[in-house]
Amino acid sequence: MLDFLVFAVTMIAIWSVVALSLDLQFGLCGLVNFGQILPFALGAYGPAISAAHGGSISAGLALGLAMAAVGGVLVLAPVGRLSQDYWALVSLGASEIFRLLMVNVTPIAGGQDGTAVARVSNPLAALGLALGLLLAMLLLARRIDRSPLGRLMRVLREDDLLVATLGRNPFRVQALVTVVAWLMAALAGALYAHVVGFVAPSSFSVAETFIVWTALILGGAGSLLGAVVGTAFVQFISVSTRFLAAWSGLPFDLVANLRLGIFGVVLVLVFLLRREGLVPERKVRVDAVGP
Amino acid sequence: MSVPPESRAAGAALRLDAVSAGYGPLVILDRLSMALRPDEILLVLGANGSGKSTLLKTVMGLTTITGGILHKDDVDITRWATHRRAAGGIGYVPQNNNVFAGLSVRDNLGMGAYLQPAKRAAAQEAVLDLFPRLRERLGATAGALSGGERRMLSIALTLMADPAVLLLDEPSSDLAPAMIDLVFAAIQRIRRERRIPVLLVEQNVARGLAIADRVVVLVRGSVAADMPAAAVQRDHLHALFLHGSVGAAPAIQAQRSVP
Repeated sequence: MLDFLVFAVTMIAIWSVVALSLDLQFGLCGLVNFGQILPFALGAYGPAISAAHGGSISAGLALGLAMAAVGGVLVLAPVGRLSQDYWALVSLGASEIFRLLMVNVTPIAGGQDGTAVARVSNPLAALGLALGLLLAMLLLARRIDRSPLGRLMRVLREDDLLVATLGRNPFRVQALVTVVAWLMAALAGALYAHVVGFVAPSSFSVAETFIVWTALILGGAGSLLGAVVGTAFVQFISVSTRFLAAWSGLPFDLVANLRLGIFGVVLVLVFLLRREGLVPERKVRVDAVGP
Repeated sequence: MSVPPESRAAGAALRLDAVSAGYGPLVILDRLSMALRPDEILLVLGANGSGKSTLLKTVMGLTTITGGILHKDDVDITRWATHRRAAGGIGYVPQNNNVFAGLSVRDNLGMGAYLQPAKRAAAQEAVLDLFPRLRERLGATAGALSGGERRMLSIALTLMADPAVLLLDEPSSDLAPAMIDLVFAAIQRIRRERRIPVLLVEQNVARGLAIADRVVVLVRGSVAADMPAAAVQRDHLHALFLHGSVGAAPAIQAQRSVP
């Protein structure tokens, strides 16, 4: 039981980093990205590709980060204005293209069956790494949030065209935020690979992106702590449905699907009762001209 | 293609030569040619859908330009992005969504100062002198301002960047008459003190004519008439608005940009 709790908290910390990276894009900057699982997957596939071809752990980590950075630029390049709806669709499409590529091209990293990677065998060490990463990313996000860049991001969220008419290039800021957020998610992905010890395409489906969205909206978009609280809540529901299956004797598949239904109900309730989420965004003063 | 003499005028602050523009496949401006002279208030009139707002958006780079050339001070800015045009001295006050509703008045002005950070204090003093009402509301959230205060803030925000040309889209819309007086007096003062030309789109013809030097009338995305404001007669405008031609009003020297 204790082992399981340690594992659950480790997963909460890792997915919190992904939620945090989405919060930077959507919560602070207003960019709707329906493919945030992609940088997480790229980060995880760095170690997987490295392991499948006899590379080292550090080579895998570097590969994951590089793929996320290059992937970010590649996906960004054809999109001129990130605040428009099609950025959401481009990112969604890109994440599925990558997943299907990994399913179908077996030599890259084992195809559908996936690849084993070096596992952090001590659960407490894994927990420490995950909490350390979360803390570092929280501090980074907080630093961005309170900097002139963070203030500019909030203003872009309000009206990017008005910002452009005042002489700033919205795309440059939005692209910068996207690349930083993608690197964050890639770090989480790489750690995920080494904690689970196994990387397969099925872990990176579109549904995962929307679970992260659920966590963010529930916790409170625009609030950094909200991303963590929302993830904890969503992971708690996820985990408890597993126990519910064992306890009630219902089939596991049924309960697992019920879990997605619960997320849907939670989202509806949040929109009806508490739109700002569990931890509302703090009110900020934007009294600086910025970078 | 015939370019009207107006557009060939040397030293125009803005010049459009046969510009076609719109939104994606929808073309609103149809080979439109006109020029904004330095130090003038040019009033743009036209029926709904004639392309008045689209003209301003096109100058600011917010539409798709499909033909023609746009000059500012004889520099071709046709392909420039919006932020670059702003840096090049074009100040644009949209009709709607023209302030950051979530920010305070002071912070809105700060956003406007991005292009001239060193002159922020002086620029803020100047706009508060122009709109004393905003001084009392510096700490208020822009979303909580009255319609008139909001309009003042939108103009002040744009002036913070010290533009060389001012584009105003319907500054009188949704305002009470007393507030329109204040805003139009400010527009005249801006032109007088800053010596910058103003391209003014306005539905309120009487108000616009009262401060304008020159008038262009748009019909279906082209210039149907171009005349001094003093020469405008009410029935001529009726003919243009209602019939889209000056056939009923031969006294006007009409200049169609389409050959």
